Amino acid sequence: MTRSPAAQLVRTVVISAIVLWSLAPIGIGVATSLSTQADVQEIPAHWLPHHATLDAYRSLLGGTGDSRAGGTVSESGAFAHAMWNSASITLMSTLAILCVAISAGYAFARLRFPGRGALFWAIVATIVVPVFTVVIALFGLMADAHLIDRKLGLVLVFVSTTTPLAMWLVCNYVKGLPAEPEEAALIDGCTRWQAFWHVVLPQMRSGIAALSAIVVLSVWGEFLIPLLLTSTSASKPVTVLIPEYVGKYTTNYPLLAAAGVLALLPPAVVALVLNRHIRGMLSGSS
Amino acid sequence: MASVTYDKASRIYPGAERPAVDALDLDIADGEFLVLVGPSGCGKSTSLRMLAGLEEVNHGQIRIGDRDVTHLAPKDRDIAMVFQSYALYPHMTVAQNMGFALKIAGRSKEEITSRVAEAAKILDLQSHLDRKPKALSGGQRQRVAMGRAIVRSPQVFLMDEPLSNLDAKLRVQTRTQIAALQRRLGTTTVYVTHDQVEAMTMGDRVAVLKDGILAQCDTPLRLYQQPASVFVAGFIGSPGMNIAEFKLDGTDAVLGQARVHLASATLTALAEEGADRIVVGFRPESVDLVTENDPDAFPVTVAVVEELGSDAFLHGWHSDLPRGDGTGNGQIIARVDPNHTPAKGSRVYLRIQPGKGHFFSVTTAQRLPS
Repeated sequence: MTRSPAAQLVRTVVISAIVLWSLAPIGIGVATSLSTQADVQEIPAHWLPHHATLDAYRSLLGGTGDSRAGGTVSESGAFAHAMWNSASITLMSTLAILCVAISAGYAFARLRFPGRGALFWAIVATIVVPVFTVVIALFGLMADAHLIDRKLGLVLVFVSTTTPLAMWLVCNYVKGLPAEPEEAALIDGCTRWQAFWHVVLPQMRSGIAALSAIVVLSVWGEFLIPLLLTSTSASKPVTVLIPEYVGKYTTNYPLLAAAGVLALLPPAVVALVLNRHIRGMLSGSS
Repeated sequence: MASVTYDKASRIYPGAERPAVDALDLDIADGEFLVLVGPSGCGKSTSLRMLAGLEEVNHGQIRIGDRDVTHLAPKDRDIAMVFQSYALYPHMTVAQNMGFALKIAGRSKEEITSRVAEAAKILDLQSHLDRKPKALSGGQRQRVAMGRAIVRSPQVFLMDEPLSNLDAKLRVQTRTQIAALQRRLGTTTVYVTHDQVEAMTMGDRVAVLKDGILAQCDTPLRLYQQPASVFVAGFIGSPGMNIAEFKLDGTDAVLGQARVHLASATLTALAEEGADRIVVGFRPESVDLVTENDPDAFPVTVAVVEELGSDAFLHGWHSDLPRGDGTGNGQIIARVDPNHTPAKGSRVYLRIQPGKGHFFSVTTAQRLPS
């Protein structure tokens, strides 16, 4: 497609503005994480640190009482532990969500059974229920089930909140796949399950990759539910830990920023690796 | 190998008012090549999928040999199917595609390799065994789909328009290959197509379906020579039969100056019906180019002449009749000598060869005795 130079200019300016708007906070975060507390508090403020230092990262990961880094300091190993919590919760949730969503989505797309339509829309309708409207009930439920401050509790909640969307995406994806290879597999001697395993799943590879990325990104960034259901480092993920670095009287900004930058890395890697598939999934093809 | 029997088999889609396939009765002999043909929506593919077990049978029975397979899963029917889209497994190589059924059946690696190699040799696919389907041409994919079917040595082959996605030349070539392969293997085959030329050239017998009902099932030649109804008469043959409604005039049927003599059996049947009209059909090759003085000659204005080299077809309209009266009554196709074709727009005289007419009832559209 050819565009007039003026249109191209407008396009470039608009896209640059959006990119700048989105990336600026991350840039400021990285710059702050490399600064000292003194640099940060200087007036007038300046964009880049005078002497770049990794002190904030060291104290975050190593745990240090060095007051040069600022007033609040990290409890030894707390951040690493929270990262581990986030990673394991995300991994477990993603696996569970994929298992449920793929099998349910396939069943809704391909199998005929009574009540299929009603059941499907009942599940999908839960997507529109905002989490904050059910937090009180959820807390009560989890407390009764003795799942407060346990990773399993979080995983179960994420499975129930994220699966409907994932299932919907899978269902649409499967509907877009030709039915004939499956039918050929049935005739070639497969049971329904074997046809699914040998023929359908391999064709869904890129869809599953995209879905995994979407699920990982959304679970990793969850804040409200973990805030509600976790209280100690036994299950507290990094999203809940970071705000705790904001002190009542002083805040160690380099430390806070460093934590943010590190917490950003895993989802960024996932997004970059699976980028191609995500575009495919969202545009309805692969 | 085995025979196949449809015994009053019907399929009614949920929410549909009339059956997609209505009480189909069909006996296919062991080793026979039967073609199901008809216009789109006639139920031919549904009939095939019922036999495959991919569509439910709502009433009646389907048997393979003596075995009632009506409610068996596809995998338990011992059939192989070639799909229009080929339905190859995109993530498997050609060899894996062809050996998949054997692998699922738990056959040994050596057996799978040797049987795949054998089928690949028959289909000239040896050099492509390690490729994925997307790296193959349409013709090669079609052969892989065939290979996947023959590797298994099933009791019945089902083919659902397997040539539709090929270009015209390859289609003609492959059609002969499939027919020859089937004769060689001797496997009972049910073949679905909408192309009547394919049906005529490939089948031992051809079953013509219309609106889910079997219109006629016979050898290609008998279908051509003795069509049981106006529909079959019009559907079989290319170019199609000329079909028009004639008036009864004594012992003749008349349309404009065109005149056909009717046999006494035909007249008796008409009298029983109390009809004063009759549907007359005649093939393009059953018409002679004659002079004006010939008795029974009728004038035709030439619209187009299609020259095919070996043949030429004159498309024209009956000069006595209004051209676009909506009935198609006046339109005529006639085979003429390709070396002496009349000019476009000229007026010629045609005569229907005696004894070459096909006669059908106006009310039932069924063939009348002659």
